[in-house]
Amino acid sequence: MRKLVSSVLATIGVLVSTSALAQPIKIGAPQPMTGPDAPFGDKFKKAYTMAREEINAAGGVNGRKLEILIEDHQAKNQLAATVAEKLITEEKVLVMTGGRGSGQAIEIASVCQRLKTPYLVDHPSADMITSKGFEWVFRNNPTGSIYPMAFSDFITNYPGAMPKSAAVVYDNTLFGKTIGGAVIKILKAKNVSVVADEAYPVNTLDFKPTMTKVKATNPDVVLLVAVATTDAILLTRHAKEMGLTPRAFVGFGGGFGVADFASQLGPLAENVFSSAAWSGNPNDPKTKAFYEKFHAKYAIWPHEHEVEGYSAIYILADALKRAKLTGDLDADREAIRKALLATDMTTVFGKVKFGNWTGPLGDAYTNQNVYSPGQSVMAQWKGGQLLNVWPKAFAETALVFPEPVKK
Amino acid sequence: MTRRLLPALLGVAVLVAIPLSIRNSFFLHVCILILMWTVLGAAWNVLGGFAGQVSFGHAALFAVGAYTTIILYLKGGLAPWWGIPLGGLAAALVSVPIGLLCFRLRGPYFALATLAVAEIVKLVALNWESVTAGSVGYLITTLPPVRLFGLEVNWEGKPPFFAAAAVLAVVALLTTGWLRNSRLGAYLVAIRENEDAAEAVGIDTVRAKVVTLALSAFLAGMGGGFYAFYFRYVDPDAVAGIGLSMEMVFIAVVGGLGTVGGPLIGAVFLTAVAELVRDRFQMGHLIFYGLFMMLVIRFMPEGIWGRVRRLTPGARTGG
Repeated sequence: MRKLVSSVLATIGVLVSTSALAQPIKIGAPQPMTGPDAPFGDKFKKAYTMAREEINAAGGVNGRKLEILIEDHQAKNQLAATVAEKLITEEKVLVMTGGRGSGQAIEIASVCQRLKTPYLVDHPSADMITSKGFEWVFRNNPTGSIYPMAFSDFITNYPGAMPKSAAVVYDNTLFGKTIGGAVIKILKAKNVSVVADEAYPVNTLDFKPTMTKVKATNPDVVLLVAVATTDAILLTRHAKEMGLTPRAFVGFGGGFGVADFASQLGPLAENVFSSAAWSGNPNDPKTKAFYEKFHAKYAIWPHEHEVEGYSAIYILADALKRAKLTGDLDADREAIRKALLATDMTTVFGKVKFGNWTGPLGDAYTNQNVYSPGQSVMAQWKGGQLLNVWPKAFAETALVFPEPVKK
Repeated sequence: MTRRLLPALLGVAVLVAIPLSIRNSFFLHVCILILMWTVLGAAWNVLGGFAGQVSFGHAALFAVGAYTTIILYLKGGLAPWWGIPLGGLAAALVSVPIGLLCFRLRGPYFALATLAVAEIVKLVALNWESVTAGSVGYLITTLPPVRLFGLEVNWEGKPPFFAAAAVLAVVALLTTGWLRNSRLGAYLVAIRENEDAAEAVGIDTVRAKVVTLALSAFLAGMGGGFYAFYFRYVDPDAVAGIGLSMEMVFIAVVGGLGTVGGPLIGAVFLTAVAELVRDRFQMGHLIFYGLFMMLVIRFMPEGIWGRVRRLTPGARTGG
């Protein structure tokens, strides 16, 4: 009798494990599908879907299809932890990605670290996510303190660009403070005097008092940091309306690079620089092809978020292909973590290889993309179009500097 | 006496049975959330339900507790079982000047003042970087190894957190139960029904309200301390946001204002409803959540527990 039972159990065991291998590979992705950040969740959903469909149409990963489970965290930290927990323990996903907001990503990273599930961060930029020694957490995109690297390179290497003085205006969120702090540190290291250091709350309606104050210091360049698009637009508008005439306006943050920036500001957007962690290299035919493909499918042009989401799925698919999956959840997750450590590939976002290194502000990164610093670029608005101008290898057009003085 | 003792014993039995019998960690997680919201709902209910002082700023007290606990742990190495009560104590201390200021105002003015206080606390948390780490926030990466009854406490598992949340919830409900039968509770009901009359019969209304706020703050602060240890990351948006203050109001209202069991019932319903509809409808779940709230408020203005109490034959008022 005991023999019978054990043989039945063994058969069931074999059946279960083989069927587990034939089933789709589950990837968990907490995103804000409702609430204030819902438009971003939608961007990622589109990008994930497109990558998944392409990979599955090409035969999947070693014959298994990919399945992406998106769970709504409403941009709430507590909910992000809850859905991460649910995806890992209930849905038994093999690997996680997503997050969108830094606070939510920190919670997801913390849960993934505890539950020993690999997590590939695709957008959140807080340095803390990859500087706490979490060996289960990987990040493809640059950290906040890397954003101003292209600007740093520009003032160092472009003839005559080193400013005599600078004004830095940034929002008081994690994003704004990280980048504002990094910019100030870079400037001070180059002996540039920071004549104005102004923080503002997100969604400020009137920047005129701030800009009056900034104008009195007569800065040589004005550096603006905004996490919100409306702030990026109003900062620029009010600075120009108050008659600031620095040699350059440089914006940091997604808001300075979106179409709304040009359409709402019109001629005021002309020659404003946008220094981002990623603006794509349009000289690359692969990037162009991706843009066209995405536009053909969704009738919108992809930006940072879509590219990040799309690339994340390809990075995971690559790691899953190399990992030996056995059907045992814990062993498979560990195998995927090991495979991610050996990642060395190029996506639409750029080259990716995870490593441990020290960031520009001294953060000790774990599993942060080692190519991140080189992915920072400066672009400039020209006639309603944002064109890459620095570094030279990525330049689409010649840059205008200093800003021509208007009469 | 047995009528009240029986459900209490039953509740404790359930609380002990859940972590012992259920291995599903997500289910335990949801139970922990329910218990945490029970504490917060009860904290709000003490002031809002019994004294009728509607606060839209309880997140401020929660935040003080969360920050105190996490800072004491990260900078001072103070263990959770000391940090959480101290978080409550810090919130209670902070609440006294707030109460002395805000209780000069009544009705909607008081509610607006509490809203402002919460915003001030959030701004302080954002800008007092040397203490609060500003928008970067604090993250706990590891909890200390602890042996309890000869067993290593597994911080990666749910049972220790379940036990902590259960103790806090029991403390919160016992406090509410004690308050209902105390002299202070009677004062509060008098204040809620007619503050001028209460003053006329010689109740020191400001003092009664300040003491109650401190009690409420103590519970909310402990809830915040628990949040810090369970979710391990504290930043101004997460612990001092207006959304959190609102959730506390919802739980107390849906459960039943001025009742002892209300916050528990409110937390069970709202957490369960939120999880169930989010599971079914990825995009539209908030509509159903809102609808549920509207139906409760329309058809059970006294709250779910309040309605159940009324429908139970022989039930006394309150409860």
